Amino acid sequence: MSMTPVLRKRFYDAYKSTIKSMNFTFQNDSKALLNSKQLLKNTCLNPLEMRQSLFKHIPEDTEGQIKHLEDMSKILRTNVAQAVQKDKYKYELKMHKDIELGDNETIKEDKGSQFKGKKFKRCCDSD
Amino acid sequence: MFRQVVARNFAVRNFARVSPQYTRSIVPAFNKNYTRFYSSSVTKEELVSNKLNDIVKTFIEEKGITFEKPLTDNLKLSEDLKLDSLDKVELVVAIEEEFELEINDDASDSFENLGQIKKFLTEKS
Repeated sequence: MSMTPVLRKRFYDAYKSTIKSMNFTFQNDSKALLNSKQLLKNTCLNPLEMRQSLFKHIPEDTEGQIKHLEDMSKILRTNVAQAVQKDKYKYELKMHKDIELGDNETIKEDKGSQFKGKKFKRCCDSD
Repeated sequence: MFRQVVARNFAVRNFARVSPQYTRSIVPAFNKNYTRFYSSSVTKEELVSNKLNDIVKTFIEEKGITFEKPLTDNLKLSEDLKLDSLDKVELVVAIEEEFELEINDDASDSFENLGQIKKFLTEKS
């Protein structure tokens, strides 16, 4: 993959940032950390092959791929929290300061949005 | 003369009898401010070198790279350890996190062997 010096720098910065995010998010899970780094490296080295086999949403162009990597780094840090199983049905979510917290009011606004415009049917309604 | 010897022995025995109690009362107070002095034989360069060697050993183990020889300053990252550019980025991140410092792009691009990394870390840390 040939890149201009500017894109090359952006790519290495994004790669470094993603490695840091992985170290941060999976810090207590060495197996997940090792696998995710391996997968990241394979995807960066062969993006088009990985696009066909695993990740269908990876953009085809280099700039788009770098943007995808930058977004991944951010999402890993702000939207992924690991959970530890404490009991059969009990998991403890490991929250940290970087996790993005939603506002309850905005959640209420979107409540039921997936059913808007669709015919509502109760279980007791007859066909 | 014999009287002096007996007197001296008596004094020693008495002191020995008294000393455990004496030391018991004195030693804890002394231990409160106990300070260990390390010899100055371990230099900053050696500390950096040992820490870096540990990081590199762990890193190459994780990568599944078999390298039996001891890690020397002349060891080349690309030729000897077979690290590619992405591996180097990963190694730099591991070093940054362990040494709690930031390594800029120019410096990390210039690293070709362990000696160069050690020199940089000794100057920065």
